[in-house]
Amino acid sequence: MVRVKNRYLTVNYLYTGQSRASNKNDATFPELLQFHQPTPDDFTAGKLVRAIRDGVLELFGDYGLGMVNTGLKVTYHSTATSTSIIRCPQAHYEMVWAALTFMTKLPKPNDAPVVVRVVRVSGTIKKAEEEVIRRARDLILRAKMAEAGRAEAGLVTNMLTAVDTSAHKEREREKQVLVDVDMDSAEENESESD
Amino acid sequence: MTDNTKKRKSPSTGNSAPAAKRPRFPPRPSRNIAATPSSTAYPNGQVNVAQFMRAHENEIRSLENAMKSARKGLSRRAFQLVPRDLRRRTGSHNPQRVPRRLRPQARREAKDDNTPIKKGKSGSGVGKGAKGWLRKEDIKKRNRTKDKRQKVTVRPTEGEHSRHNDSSGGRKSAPTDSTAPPKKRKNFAALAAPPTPASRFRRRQVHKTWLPSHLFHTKRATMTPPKEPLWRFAIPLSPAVKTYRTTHRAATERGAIAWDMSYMATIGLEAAEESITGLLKALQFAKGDEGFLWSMRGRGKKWRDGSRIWEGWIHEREGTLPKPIAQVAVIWSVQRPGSNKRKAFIRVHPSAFLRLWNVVIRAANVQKPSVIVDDLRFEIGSIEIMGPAAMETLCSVLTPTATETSDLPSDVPRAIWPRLASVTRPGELPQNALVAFNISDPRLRHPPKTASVLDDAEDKLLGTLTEWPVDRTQTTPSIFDRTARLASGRLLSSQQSINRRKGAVAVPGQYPDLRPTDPQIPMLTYVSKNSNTLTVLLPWKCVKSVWKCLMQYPCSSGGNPRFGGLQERRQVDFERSMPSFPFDFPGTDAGWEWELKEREARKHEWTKRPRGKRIEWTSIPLGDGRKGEVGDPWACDWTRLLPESHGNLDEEAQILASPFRYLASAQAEGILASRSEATSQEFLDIPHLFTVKVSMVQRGMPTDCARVYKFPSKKPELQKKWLSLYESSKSKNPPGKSAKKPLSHPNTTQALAASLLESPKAGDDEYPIVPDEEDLIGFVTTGNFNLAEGRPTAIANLVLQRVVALEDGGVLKTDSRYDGKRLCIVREAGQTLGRLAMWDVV
Repeated sequence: MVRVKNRYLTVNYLYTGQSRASNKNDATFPELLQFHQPTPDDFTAGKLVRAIRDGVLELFGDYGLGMVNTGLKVTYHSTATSTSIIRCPQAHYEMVWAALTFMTKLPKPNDAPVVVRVVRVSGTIKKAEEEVIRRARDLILRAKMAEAGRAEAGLVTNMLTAVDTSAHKEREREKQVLVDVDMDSAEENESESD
Repeated sequence: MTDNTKKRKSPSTGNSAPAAKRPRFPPRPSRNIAATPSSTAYPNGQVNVAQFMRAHENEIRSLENAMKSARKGLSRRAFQLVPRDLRRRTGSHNPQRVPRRLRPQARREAKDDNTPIKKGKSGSGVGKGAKGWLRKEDIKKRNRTKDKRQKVTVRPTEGEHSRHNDSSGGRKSAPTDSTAPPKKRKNFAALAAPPTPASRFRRRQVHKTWLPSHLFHTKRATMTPPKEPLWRFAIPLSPAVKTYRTTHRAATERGAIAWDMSYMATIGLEAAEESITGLLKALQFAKGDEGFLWSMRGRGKKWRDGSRIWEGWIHEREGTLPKPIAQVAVIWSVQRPGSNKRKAFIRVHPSAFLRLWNVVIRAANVQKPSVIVDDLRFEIGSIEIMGPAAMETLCSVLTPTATETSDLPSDVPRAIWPRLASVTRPGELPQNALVAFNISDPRLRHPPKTASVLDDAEDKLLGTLTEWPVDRTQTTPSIFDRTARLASGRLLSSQQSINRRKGAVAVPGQYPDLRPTDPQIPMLTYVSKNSNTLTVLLPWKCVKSVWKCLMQYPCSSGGNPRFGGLQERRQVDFERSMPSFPFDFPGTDAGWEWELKEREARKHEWTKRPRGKRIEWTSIPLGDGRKGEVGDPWACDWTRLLPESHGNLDEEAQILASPFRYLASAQAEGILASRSEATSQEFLDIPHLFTVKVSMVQRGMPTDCARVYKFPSKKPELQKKWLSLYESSKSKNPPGKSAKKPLSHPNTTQALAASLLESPKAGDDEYPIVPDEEDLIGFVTTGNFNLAEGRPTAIANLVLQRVVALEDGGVLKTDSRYDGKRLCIVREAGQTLGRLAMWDVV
């Protein structure tokens, strides 16, 4: 059966700059939490779509907007955890990705500096959801460790960083593979459609 | 648009949307995945670790829920949740036709879908569709007479009597005068009447009889069409699910496959041993094996003692060359001590039953003292089971009844029985062995448990199998005893009472205790070498309960035994390259009848198709200017192969009986090898058919009705072409190719070029054309892809006269066995290409 094919981008919003949280001066506030801060509620799914459209229009012009607009939808948008899943047309998901990457600030009223990171490109929503779950688990674990580390800072810090870096490396490798795989499958699909 | 009140009303009166615009199915649950906003996750804007973790936990939960609902949301409807082989067409619109647990869901869906629910219209009694209550008067009248009858028979004490009479005499001897003493059994043999079915099933069995497991099969298999029963039975043709490969696996590799073969007819003989022996000799039972059969020692002796069975052909009495009737199994009963009478069963396929019955009766009257012949068709049912797990299934389901004496000698059949569970092939058991004892109702031991194999069982089993003490210890099987058969059927308790007993057991899963009043079901199991199966003989009424438990036995290799229909029965025989009776024996009357029936069916199939999409038989080019199919294209047109002298048979005679005789394979082999010259001439006078196995040399798939030619005898040119085709097919893949020394380069290319030149491909102009009709020697009766061999094979019948004439031709003597193989050319009906094949007598 012929069907419209989509890509699902799993997106994280990271906050590297000044903390918007009131306790920014708290020395004990873990770096992790600062990095993965909640996104303000006024950054809604609709605003995200609009921001993407604007970005695509700016980067790729009317052509890009026309290509992307057909299947663009935010299927999951959680401000509390700064995570979204965005659906976009399979053939042009890179345009959406580019628009997201070039987004440096949250939309208008807020204007907080943000890094939008596409962590996973997948062909089905299920895999995107699994990725979000995996990352959330990972974050919970790290938050726990961070808290424990704060309690006995001196001893554990080294170990923690070691674990952290190794986990990071591991994730990097995984991501590489995943992106590769997705790219491959995308190419395959394209070649099939040809 | 006019307002049509008869049309379906929309479910909600307020909904005025036109029917086409309304969603057909209720909208799927929305795919929005719930997410908590930051303000609720972090109430006071403070970010701390605990809240951070909680927010992410919530995220995980909501996404997992989303995934779960997505899986469910694939909108499977209730009737689709039923296992495939239990789905009914009616299940899609009648909630009553799905399992009870799904009924509420089905009803809800029907309501959402705005489908009217019709209840009780698709069964019996009230009639269907527009006719509705057409038979209302009938039903009322019947009920009234039933009430009257009940009032009459309420008289006490005599009710018992009449019931006995009824069960012994069948429908015809229904009690008319209940005060009369029980009738003495008639001395002359009468055909058995089928048991009277329950009133609500009676009208469906006027022209046919249901098998004991009919209700099981009719839910799961394609049955014979209601108006065209086979041999007056409603027989399952094939399971509703796909089965070709699974049947092959179950029969040979893993698991088991069972058939309810209750339609097989049983003829009971009772007389002094000499009389029965005389009868069997008169009917030339197992002709060719007489030496073994009637000898005073060895297999024949064991057979007559009742510890083995014997399968063979039985013949009509007349003529120097008696006409074979059918392949039968003869089982003797072990002699009851103190009685000089013996009993024996003849088991025969229903297609040949009547012929055999008439012959047996005539032969029985001739014997002195005469033989009492009984038609036990509806008294003895049978189950056949095949496959590696067959024996363990039987060992678990058929449990011997408890005996009074606790210390059983270890070599009586019922003691040996559980030990046989690890037998995986019937060939491991002694040839044609037989085991008989009484079993308890298997429903009391339901669900059956996987047969356990004891540690020392292996050694003991080997000892048992080599010694086979059953030959000594087998007592008279009670299945030969009419009262035992009837009593077991009568004592069977209802499913309800069995359920009650099972419910009363303290520990769930434990079987209820057996009672002395429980029925002792006579059982006899034998190994059939011919069909490679285990056959269980049971009283007709007890087949159902055994069958149900059999189907639910958990095999040690996983899964349950499968069930098969007629098609599977033929398939397993075909895969063993064995002809199956009566389908592959057009030389017998039964097989001839089947062939005529099939002819009609194929013709009907053809006429059903539109003119543009069916083969125009008259315009098939056979090469050399010949046009049109040889003979009747839907048939194995045997009459064309009759010798000149027999050519002018009138149609009616053909319908009654086969113009051919079946020639047993051993005899055919002898004549072909011209070993038995003395009798050859006799055989050549009457047209004979013999069964062969056809396997393809190159490619091609022989199907039913394919034409089998010998190599053209009168066209040496064409014959050379076919032979060269065979040669080239050999050189393409010779068996010891690698051993050949490598050729030098120019030679290789030469050889390659030569081989390319040599073998014309099918469809090329050089490909040899098919021989003339005078070279037609037979037809394929069963042909298909053979999973056991991994290539297409076929069972064919050849006309002896046509084949042997070829050998007597002198010049072409080598042709019949070219290169040690008997070659032929097979052409499918409606095809122009002939394919090389070889045949062997089976």
